[in-house]
Amino acid sequence: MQTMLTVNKLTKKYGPQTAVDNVSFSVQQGEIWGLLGPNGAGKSTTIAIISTLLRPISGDVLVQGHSVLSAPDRVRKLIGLVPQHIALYPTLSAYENLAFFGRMYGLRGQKLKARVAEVLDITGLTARAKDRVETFSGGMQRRLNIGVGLMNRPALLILDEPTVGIDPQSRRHILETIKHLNASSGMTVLYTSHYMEEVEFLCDRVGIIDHGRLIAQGTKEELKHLVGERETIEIRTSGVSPAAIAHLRQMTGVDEVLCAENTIKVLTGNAGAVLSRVVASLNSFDCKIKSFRIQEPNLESVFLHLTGKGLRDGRMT
Amino acid sequence: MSFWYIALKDVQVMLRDKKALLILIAMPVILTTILGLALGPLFNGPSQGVPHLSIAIVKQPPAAAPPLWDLLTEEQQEQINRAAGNLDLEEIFLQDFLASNELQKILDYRIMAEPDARAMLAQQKIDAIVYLPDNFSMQYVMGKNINLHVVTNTDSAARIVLQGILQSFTDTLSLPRIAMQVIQEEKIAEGIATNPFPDSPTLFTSLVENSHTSVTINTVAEEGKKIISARQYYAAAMAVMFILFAAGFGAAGILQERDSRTFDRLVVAGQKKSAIVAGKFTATMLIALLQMSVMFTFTHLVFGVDWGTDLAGLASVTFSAVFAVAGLGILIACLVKTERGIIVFQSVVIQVMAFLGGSFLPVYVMPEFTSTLAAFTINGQALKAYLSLMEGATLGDITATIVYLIGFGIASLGIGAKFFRVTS
Ligand SMILES: Nc1ncnc2c1ncn2[C@@H]1O[C@H](COP(=O)(O)OP(=O)(O)O)[C@@H](O)[C@H]1O
Ligand SMILES: [Mg+2]
Repeated sequence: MQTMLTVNKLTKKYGPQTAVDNVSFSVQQGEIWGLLGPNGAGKSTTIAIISTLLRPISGDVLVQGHSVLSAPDRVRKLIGLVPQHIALYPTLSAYENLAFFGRMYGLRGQKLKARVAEVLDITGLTARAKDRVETFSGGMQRRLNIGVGLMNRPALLILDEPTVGIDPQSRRHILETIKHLNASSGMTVLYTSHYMEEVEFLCDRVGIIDHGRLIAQGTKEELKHLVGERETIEIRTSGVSPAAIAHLRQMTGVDEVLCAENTIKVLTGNAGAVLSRVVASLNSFDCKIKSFRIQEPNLESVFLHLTGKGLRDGRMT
Repeated sequence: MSFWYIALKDVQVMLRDKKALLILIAMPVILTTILGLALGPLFNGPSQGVPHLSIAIVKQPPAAAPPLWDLLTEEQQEQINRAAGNLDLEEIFLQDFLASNELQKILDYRIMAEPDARAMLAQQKIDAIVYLPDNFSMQYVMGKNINLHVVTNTDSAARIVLQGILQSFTDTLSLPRIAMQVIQEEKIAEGIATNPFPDSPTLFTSLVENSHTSVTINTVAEEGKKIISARQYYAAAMAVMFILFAAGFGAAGILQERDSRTFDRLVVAGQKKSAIVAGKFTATMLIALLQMSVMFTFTHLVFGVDWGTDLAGLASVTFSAVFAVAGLGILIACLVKTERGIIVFQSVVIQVMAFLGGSFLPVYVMPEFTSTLAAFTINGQALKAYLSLMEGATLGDITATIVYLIGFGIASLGIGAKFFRVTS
């Protein structure tokens, strides 16, 4: 297998703050590689450097062997970028947006028409092609945002949190589309997200980034191995007190406790052994338990294990 | 060729933007219509049958600082003071307006104390008393409508004439301000700007109603030149003022595309900064050209405005004016960082440029200081050239203006392009 993307010791600072700290990874041709990390981890900065929009302080990126520093134009021909922002013209129609960016890629005439039609089809927007983008739902705008990134049939499609703020159905559609593009045309995909489920669903290999540093990478299975045999007890309650959480943390057999919006996650080496004590403790703090389940290790628990915090909000209560 | 597609896309975006259409296309047309009606008297017509008027000017005692003065920031107060200091409206009113050749024929005035004026009015030795507001310039600069208080006891034709004369003066001052006001309110409605002058009225309709007063004053043209009508003057004055808004629109588009990362997409698609700058520059040129075409067509077809007969001259001034405006747009985009900055440009800078350049009041009724400054504004230069063509000049007579405008465009494009940022 050929290497599509090599990211080599990438560092970028904004003033004194290090946004990307010595990040290295590589993506093989034909795979979907996920970059998972909470908000502010450095995902977009990494993407901007790979897309030739930002110069790193040190390190380099090679796309099919072409350096973003010395041959940015070669790199640009190979990549398709889907920025985190909805980078479209709201008063132009879906068709006009695609046609405009198609022209920017040098497409003209019949070739342009044909490609616009294909991309409308891929994104499921053919029926709304003539409508202005400002009349679209968030999900449809996100789909078109991806569509523009496909206009030049990129060998490497780079998506920066392409599903932020949309309904589950649209998200499903987008994830399926990406998977289909990868399977049918062998398009290599670099996908960033802070949603563990998306990366779990899509990606072959995953890198986990936090505070600008890639703290782990590998296949999903390899990463889950880091957590060892441990499991997560996920408990939904009607309300939690900080005292209850503090008490759980001190319990023997409990490794990490995470709490967000009335859901408590307990990382433990032996769920069977601690479950009854956890339940009893919560009862003694008057926390009503609505439901609980025991989960096999997933990327969320990997992140919890590595950083002691949750992915979604980075908050430890 | 990419730059051309970028420009066409921007024109398309503009045509779908109702606010842009209102400000860029509709406002100059509307204002030309109104100003032509209101100010016709100032420019031409016979003076027979107009009675001679004697009026007393009473200066009102200085009042306290204008209301809401304290709410302004020091910077704003400073700006207003400076603007008011540069513009002595009282002087303009007395020396340049009432004592102008045209008005001298039908009117004389004396400055006196109020009791004396009252007495003379009672004895019918004068026809009217005009109270001159304190802080005249200050109030104007702060966006107040100018209200000249008039006391008269005759209800003869003289009173109607006097009202008409004063009306032309205040309308001249306040109409262009209304344009600014409408624009401001649009922005306020969007919640971006806060109105710095909340109590300035926008009496659009009432001014339209009031603008039918007819006063007839003679304008004598210099030897060998055609007389320029009010309609002609304001057709050109509004056109050159409103193409400045195309520069603001162009700059706003640049900020927006940087912000929404569509520029990023262009870069990833292989477009160089030069193509993007050229595209944006061309877009502003096309939009300003469209504005000028609408103004030419509308004023010519509806009011029969004669823009002169030298087509080469007209084409050259128009091209060089929109070229300068497009350069200005690129320059502003690199000077201004936020949408708020664009609003300041549109509501302050354009207003000052329009005033200095003679879009509000004919340059020749302004103090010498301002008419010198007028030479530096691109709208002032373009207006001067258009008026020359209307008077019968040809391309050869206006080459200096064309060189200035093209030079301005090249310089501002050069500086703007050097500091142009594509990514945010
Ligand atoms: N233009 C910028 N100027 C200063 N700091 C920035 C800029 N862009 C991003 N950052 C900072 O760099 C860090 C990484 O940001 P980013 O790459 O956007 O993270 P992510 O995409 O993972 O949310 C954050 O702390 C962010 O505040
Ligand atoms: Mg991001």
